[in-house]
Amino acid sequence: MAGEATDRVQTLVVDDQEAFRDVMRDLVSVTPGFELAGEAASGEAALALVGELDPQLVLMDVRMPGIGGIEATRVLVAGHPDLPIVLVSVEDLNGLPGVIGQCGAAAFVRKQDLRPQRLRELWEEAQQQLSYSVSTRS
Amino acid sequence: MRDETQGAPDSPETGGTTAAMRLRGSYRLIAISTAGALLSAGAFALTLAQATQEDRPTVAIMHALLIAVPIAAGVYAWRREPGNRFAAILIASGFFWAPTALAVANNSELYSVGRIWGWLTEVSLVFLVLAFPSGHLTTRVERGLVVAGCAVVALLYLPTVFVVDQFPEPNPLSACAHHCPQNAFQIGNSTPGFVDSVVIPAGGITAVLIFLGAAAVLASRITASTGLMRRGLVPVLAFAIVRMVAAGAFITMRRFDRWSTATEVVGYVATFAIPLLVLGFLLGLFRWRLSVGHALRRLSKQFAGPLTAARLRDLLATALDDPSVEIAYWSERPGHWVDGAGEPVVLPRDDSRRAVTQLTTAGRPVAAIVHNPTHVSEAAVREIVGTFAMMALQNQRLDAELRASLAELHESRSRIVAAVDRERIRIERDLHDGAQQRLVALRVGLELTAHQVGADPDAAAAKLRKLAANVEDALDEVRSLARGVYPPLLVDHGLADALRAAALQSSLSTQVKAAGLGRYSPEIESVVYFCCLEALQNAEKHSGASRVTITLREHEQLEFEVRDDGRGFSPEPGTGAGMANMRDRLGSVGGSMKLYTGEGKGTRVVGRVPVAADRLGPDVELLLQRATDALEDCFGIYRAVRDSSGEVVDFVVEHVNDAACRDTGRSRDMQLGRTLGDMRAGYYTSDLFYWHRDLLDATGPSRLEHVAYETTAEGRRVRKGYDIRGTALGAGRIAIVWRDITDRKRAEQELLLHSAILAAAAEGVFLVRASDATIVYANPRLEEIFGYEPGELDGFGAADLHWEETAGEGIHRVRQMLATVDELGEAVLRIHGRRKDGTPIWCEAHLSSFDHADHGRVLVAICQDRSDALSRATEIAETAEPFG
Repeated sequence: MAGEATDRVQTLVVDDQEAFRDVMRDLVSVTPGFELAGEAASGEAALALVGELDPQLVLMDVRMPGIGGIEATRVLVAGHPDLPIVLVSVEDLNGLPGVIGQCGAAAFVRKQDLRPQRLRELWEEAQQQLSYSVSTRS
Repeated sequence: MRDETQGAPDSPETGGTTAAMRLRGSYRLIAISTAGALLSAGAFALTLAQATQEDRPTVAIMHALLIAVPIAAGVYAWRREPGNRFAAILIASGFFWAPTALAVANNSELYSVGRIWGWLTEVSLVFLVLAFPSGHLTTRVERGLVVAGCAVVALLYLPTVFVVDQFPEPNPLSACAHHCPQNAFQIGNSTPGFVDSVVIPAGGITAVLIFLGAAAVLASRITASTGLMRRGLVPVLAFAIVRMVAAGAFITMRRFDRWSTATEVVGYVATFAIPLLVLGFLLGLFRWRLSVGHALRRLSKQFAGPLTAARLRDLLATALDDPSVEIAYWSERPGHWVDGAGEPVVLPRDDSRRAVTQLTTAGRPVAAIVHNPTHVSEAAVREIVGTFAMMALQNQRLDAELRASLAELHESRSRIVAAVDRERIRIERDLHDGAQQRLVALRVGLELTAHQVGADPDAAAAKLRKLAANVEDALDEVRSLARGVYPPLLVDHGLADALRAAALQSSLSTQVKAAGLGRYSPEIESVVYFCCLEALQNAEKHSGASRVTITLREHEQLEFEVRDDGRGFSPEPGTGAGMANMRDRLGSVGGSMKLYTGEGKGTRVVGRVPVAADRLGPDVELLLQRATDALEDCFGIYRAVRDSSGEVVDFVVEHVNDAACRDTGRSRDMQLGRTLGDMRAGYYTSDLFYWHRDLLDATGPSRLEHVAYETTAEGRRVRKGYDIRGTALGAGRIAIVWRDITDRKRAEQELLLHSAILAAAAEGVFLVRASDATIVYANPRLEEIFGYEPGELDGFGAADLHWEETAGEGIHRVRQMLATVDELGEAVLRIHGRRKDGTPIWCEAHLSSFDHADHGRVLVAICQDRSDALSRATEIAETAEPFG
């Protein structure tokens, strides 16, 4: 993989809210072994950036103007089956549409639960099981 | 003049005027008749004195009839039906035709005038035939024929006056045979050849064609019509065809064989056919009136019971003999025509296939009857509908109007709901994108900082300060959102302060002028606040204005005005969702809004909200009150009062609208909280109480016609009649809507009785209650026939009047008669009766039946004393035979 050129996980953050992108930038930078590959403010921008930046992990907001996070994930997974995409949202799973389980995302996590520890766990889980499904929805 | 609408026939004022008019009218008729008689006699004398021919008495009679018959027929028809346009035209025709008598003069000038007048008479005949019976030419073809007749006289006949030396001879109206005077108006002394060979034949041919055309129009009208119209048209057509064919034949024959006996005879036929045709008109008018009378009777019988729009239409269609009848009702508030369901409809244009008769009362439109003009004329519609159905139509009109405004209310409510939903979505989006995101970022940021504290305290402190600023932003956002949902200033300090604060936020220089404002219900304050804000935002976004002034004042209503000095615009119908939103919001509190703008004129939004009745009570009562006060019907909400065993014993008034206060004569304060039993005597034992009680458990709406009677010197009569509808609201409450139908009930009763009785006032009439064969009414004539004192017969058994008096015979007889009437509609029976003094009497009785408001099913018998004719008849059995 291209990402293995450096030893840090190249992470792409996708969110339409600048305040949240700010905090994600901080999160990635303080988490050992992770590095910010880039930021996108919409699903469409993320599709373009993935080809350009070739990240190893994508943190994707669910609800954004335009195609939104779920549709963007579906397209990305089709083109990059090995790229783990973690969907993030302020809602918990019960407040999100059911199709979220079928879009091919590696994991789902609430925004407020994101911290360095959780980020590392997500990455490790994704490594163990690239086709991790979010069917763990309760 | 006949009042075509239902005025107030019993008001002394109108009654007096009508009587005076009738008196004046009858003097006028006498004058007209006298003048007509003199004129007719004059024409007769003139003919005898002047004519040279042997058969001058025939000609004299003809002239006399030509004047006398139309005038007499017109006067007679007018007396039968004052205001009949056709009767007036007939009278005018008699006078108009009089100068044709001059054609008998020996003086050439007078003779010439008489001959020329004869042509005009022909045109007027064509007009008469086509204008029957309404007095109007209705179709284009009819107008065309009359115009063509005028044109033929003007172009082909009148010009010949200046060139011919003689008028065409012979002429049945002049009776001068071979010795007629010269044409007095000839200029020069030779007749150009083409006049004789072209112009005169052309005139003759076109005249014949027009005659035939008129006859054809009439014939086609008869084939197209049924029922009412046909009965009147047939006699006219018969004589018109005779006249038109004879006149055409005469003109033709005169051309080829002028002195033959046949020509002479046909000429007389053509001329005598004119007074006959006039008699045909008269006959037609009577037959037509007779049919209208039948229709009225048919209608009156079916008029009992509650009417729906559909049933009313069916009744009118039957009565008017026109299955295509449609009814449109006038709705005041939207100001357009609606159907029975309240849906807007467009009236068809008057043409030969559909005619529209609009009915008004007190100058206001009530309904429009769309009908087939060949089946039934406008006059018949007015006659029939105006007499019987006006009240019902008026009721239906109110019904339809209510439906229309309900539909409008429903739409506006849907728009409000949609607007509220949009607003909720916007708020959710704002919360999600704003405060929620900031809080989440804060949550994560705090966590990260916690990690940093040990390693790099300075960086952690800087991060914390940054997070504090984030908290400030989140607070701002929540505050502004809350202000958008419901500005705290509006809650705490009212409209003026809230709008001043909003003005400070505006990008335009905005001034708020608000003096003397009070506090209003939250609904009103919120509606006015958001309407002003919406108008202000519109000014910011679209107007290019530099200044905005918001003015608020209370003057009976709460008024606001938002004015900008921007470029204005041309408002188009349905301008913007924002405007509709403002209107709906204002409408929800009974307010309204107007927009004044135009290119380059700035924009002014002016709104008004009624507030007077607004500070009375809790919100629900307020909304309910405003909604129900708009109703024309009475409305109330009652709560059941139960005793310790749970039995409903009374109802307490929780709500009444304005109409209910007016109807009961008690103010709202006098009613709220009191029980119906407390306020209405006899309520506990009335059917109304039981109905109310049953309503509590009813699954759907119910309806009751409640009629209270009072006893007066004349007998029992309807004191009050109500059409009541109700429904259960749950929780022991019922909602009642009622409408005063006293007038309708009284009118129904009266009409039903009158139609049965008044027509036969000269004959003995009695009403027998079907259930127990008791006489419930006998008119003076009947009492006289049977030898009883006035009023003595009331309460007698019908059997008491019967000759074969055995136990149970009366009821049996009445049932038998009812069965006969049921089967045949009406019946004529010969009844062998017994006078008070025990002597036998033979009666011929017309029987019919109807549902009486007091007595239920009632048999009406109209009796004639036929003892002289029938007593010698040996048959005793009463034989039934179909009526008419």
